[in-house]
Amino acid sequence: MRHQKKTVKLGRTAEHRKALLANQVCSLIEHQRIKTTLAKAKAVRPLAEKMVTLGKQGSLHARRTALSVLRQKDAVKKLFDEIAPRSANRNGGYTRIIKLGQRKSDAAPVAFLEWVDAAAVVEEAAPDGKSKKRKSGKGEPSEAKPPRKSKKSEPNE
Amino acid sequence: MGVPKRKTSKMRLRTRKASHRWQAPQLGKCPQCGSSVPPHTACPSCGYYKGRQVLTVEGA
Repeated sequence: MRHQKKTVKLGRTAEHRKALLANQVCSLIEHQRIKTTLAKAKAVRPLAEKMVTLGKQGSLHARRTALSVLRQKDAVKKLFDEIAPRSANRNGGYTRIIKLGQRKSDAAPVAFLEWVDAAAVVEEAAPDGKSKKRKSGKGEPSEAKPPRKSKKSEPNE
Repeated sequence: MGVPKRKTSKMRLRTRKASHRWQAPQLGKCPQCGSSVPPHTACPSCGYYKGRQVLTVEGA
């Protein structure tokens, strides 16, 4: 029985899953926000938050533990130097999942996974990302276009 | 072998089938642009969620 076994398997073998989750966390560290399926976002979230906890400890041991999971030195460095310090006075809940509805191709539910404390950082990078997107969407009926800045273009997974 | 004793009446059949009726999804209204949005989801037409822009929508 599956009772109390909390691992989200994602239809992968253990090593495949570990590699996937580590890659996703590294992408999240690099890009501040990733767009992925809801199931993967929910699976990545606990690992990402554990990495932040390691980052807040800041010790050499914590750094090596994080490196053994993530296996990317630059990601660990950014985690310890940028992401963990800005969440210093937050006890857990470092990430946010925003549901985006279903993907057109396979109707999979898609979501953003982002750092809660990154909002200001991501919003600053708005203008170029917006112009890039606007090019493809020409002939738009001007609705109540909010003057608010939007986020930069979203890296997929 | 066990067989039905009675023919299923039209009423019985239709009562049973009535529980298979399709139901429209429950949609809310986007407070920003007023279009229909599934609950707990960023608005696909204006990109707002919980009072702030979360994604860029083409042509919005």
